[in-house]
Amino acid sequence: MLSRFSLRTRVISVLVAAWITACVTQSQDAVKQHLWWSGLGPVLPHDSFPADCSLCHVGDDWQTLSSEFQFDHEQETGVPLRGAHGRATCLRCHNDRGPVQEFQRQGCAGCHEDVHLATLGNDCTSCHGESNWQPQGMIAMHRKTRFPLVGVHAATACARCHVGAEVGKFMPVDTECATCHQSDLARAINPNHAGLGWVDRCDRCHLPRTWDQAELNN
Amino acid sequence: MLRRLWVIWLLLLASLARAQVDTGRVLVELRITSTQAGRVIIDRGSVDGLAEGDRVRFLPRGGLPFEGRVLQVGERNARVELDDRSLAPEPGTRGETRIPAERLQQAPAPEPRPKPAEDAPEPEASERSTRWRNRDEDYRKGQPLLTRVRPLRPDERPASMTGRVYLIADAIESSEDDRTSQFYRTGTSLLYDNALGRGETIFFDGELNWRDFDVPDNDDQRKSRLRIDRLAVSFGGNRFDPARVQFGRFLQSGMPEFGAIDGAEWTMRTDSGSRFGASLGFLPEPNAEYETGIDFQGAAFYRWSYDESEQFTAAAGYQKSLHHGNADRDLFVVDVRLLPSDTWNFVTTAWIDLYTPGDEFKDPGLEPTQVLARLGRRWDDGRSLDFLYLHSQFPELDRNDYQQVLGTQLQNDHRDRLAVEARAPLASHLRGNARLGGWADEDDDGFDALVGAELRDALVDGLLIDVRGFLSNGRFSSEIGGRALLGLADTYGTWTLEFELSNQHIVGFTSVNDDLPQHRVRFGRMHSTDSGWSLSAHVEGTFWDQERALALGLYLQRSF
Repeated sequence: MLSRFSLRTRVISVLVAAWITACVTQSQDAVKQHLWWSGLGPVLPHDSFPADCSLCHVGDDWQTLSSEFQFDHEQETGVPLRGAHGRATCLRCHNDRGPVQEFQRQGCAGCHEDVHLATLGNDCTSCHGESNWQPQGMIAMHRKTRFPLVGVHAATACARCHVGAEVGKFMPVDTECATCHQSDLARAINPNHAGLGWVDRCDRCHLPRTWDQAELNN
Repeated sequence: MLRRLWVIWLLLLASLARAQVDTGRVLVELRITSTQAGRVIIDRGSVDGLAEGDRVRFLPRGGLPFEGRVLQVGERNARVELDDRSLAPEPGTRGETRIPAERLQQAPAPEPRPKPAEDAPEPEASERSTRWRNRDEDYRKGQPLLTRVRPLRPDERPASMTGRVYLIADAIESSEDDRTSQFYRTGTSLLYDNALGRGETIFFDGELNWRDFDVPDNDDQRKSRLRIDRLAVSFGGNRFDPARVQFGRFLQSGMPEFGAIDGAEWTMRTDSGSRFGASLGFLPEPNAEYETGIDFQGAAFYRWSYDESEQFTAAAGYQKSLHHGNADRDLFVVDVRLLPSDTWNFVTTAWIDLYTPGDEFKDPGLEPTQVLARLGRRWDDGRSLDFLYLHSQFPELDRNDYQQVLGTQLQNDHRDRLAVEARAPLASHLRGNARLGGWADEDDDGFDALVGAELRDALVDGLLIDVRGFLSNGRFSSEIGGRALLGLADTYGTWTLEFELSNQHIVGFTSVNDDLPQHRVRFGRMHSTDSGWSLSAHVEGTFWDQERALALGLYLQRSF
């Protein structure tokens, strides 16, 4: 199967794999988890912090924090950090775009780009948790639509129906069977569906479990 | 009496002798400022003559003295490793060390603080150094320490990179014609700050994936793709520079409803928090390939903000797109957000297409293609109430945004949905939730309802029991069923076990065999570590009639 890939794809694949490997295998020490930039006092006020700077800062600059630096965000600020937020570097949220409270009030979209182009509303938590971007509960979500996922549809990859699913676009799809099953209809020659004019309303004879067990009630 | 004088005289002699021996060493008193098991930080550093390897003796108020060795020395503090690593002394504990006197003479003098000046000049670029130096702008005596400290500009900061890499594997096997589906993805999302020394931010999101659909009696679909979702560089857009310019492939930041482009975007933020901007570029096709160069767009927007907090904003934008160089879409987007934290909030977005006589299936004029509206409120006691409205219909496009749409569908098809959702605490550890929705399209209408309760941390810390019943009346099927979820959270994640049973009644099926019981069982684990790893894995079985399907999913991510 490898022979099907172009040389360019292979080269890029190797480079990407090497890059990912390098990122994954680098030790935590190589990345300063708590790197803090000087002079961000107004963005993250320190006035409630202990007067002893050396509790957190070490070295001859303000950028280096103690390797043993710990900060109970919930206790100190009243805002708990759950899932991946608890592992994010401080500067992902506290930076010079502005006070983080202003962004927090806007919900998830205050910090995260909406790759769904706002077409799915602003309640990200109905599909996503806070640990990673893996969506969950899609079968339950479909019960809010005209098309609850029945039978094999409940075990089908999203992209089979939603063409833009892989880039986060879930545009409305026509619910007529033939919209997705055009090729199945074209192959149905025993009996010849097209010849008999059976080109729509598949649901009158077929159950959504298999094409092979059509039941006629003439 | 004489005997006592002799004793005192001998003691004085001994003290003098000891002082003679210690000539050349100086006693430095110190205190512990913070402590971790086995290690402490003391309030003396290189300016006090300390050096790595010095022995330090601590004198706790109660208990025996103990000692440690200096590991690392800062200008005004030092890290000491205790001989007995099980000790965790209190901050404030006194201590002492003796250092060679000549070291004090060689110790570096602390950097003098620059005098506050009326008009402190900006340092020249050549004066800038990666070594920190105090750059107080116009600090006045009596002000809080961090008031008016000149912040570092983005181009003065050291380069830094954050992001994540991930691996996703999804496999489905179904007994229905022995279909299989596999989808493997690996990718990365990187944010690189100031890599070029110009204060810029470089973004890269990309993934390599491989998909394999094995469909009996049909062409198998095996495809490998390398997709670049984002490769862009941006300048500005922070508190030092209200203008933001971005080049490359990226999701438009001013009005994301206009989608990702290969091009450039310029936005400007005013002092009041309002923003405006424009963009030019090609729209990547909205599918797995993401190929570009087919659809070109130009867009502009204005987002009014009541104040800097952006809790009340209203925005309008216009996007003109061309398909293979021919006029395609005239799209207006209107967006209103009212997001106060203590009362009702409201969010609505409308996509409105402008049709001209050149459009074949749509009447000239404006037509709302999609509308989303949400009105909700959260109360402090945990109650919440939300009303949702959704409208959508197909736009007439040359661009391939949707699956094949016929002319009659363009003219007639639409979908509207109205729903209300409520949540409320019912008792200690117990929360209830309910949802009621209705939908209508060009041919039919239906509804959905859900009621449930979740018991959290009641019997065991971290235990979740979630039970829900649901009813749904879809276009081709109606169903009634229930779902139970058992979850158990520990320090690093959550185990979940879920079971669902529903009966699907196939609407319109002409024979009697139109009821289809469907079971679903899912077992999963969400796991994350302090070192940045995150794992999500599940196995799910779906059983209906004599058929069954098995799905396996894995999501592995490393954040850095």
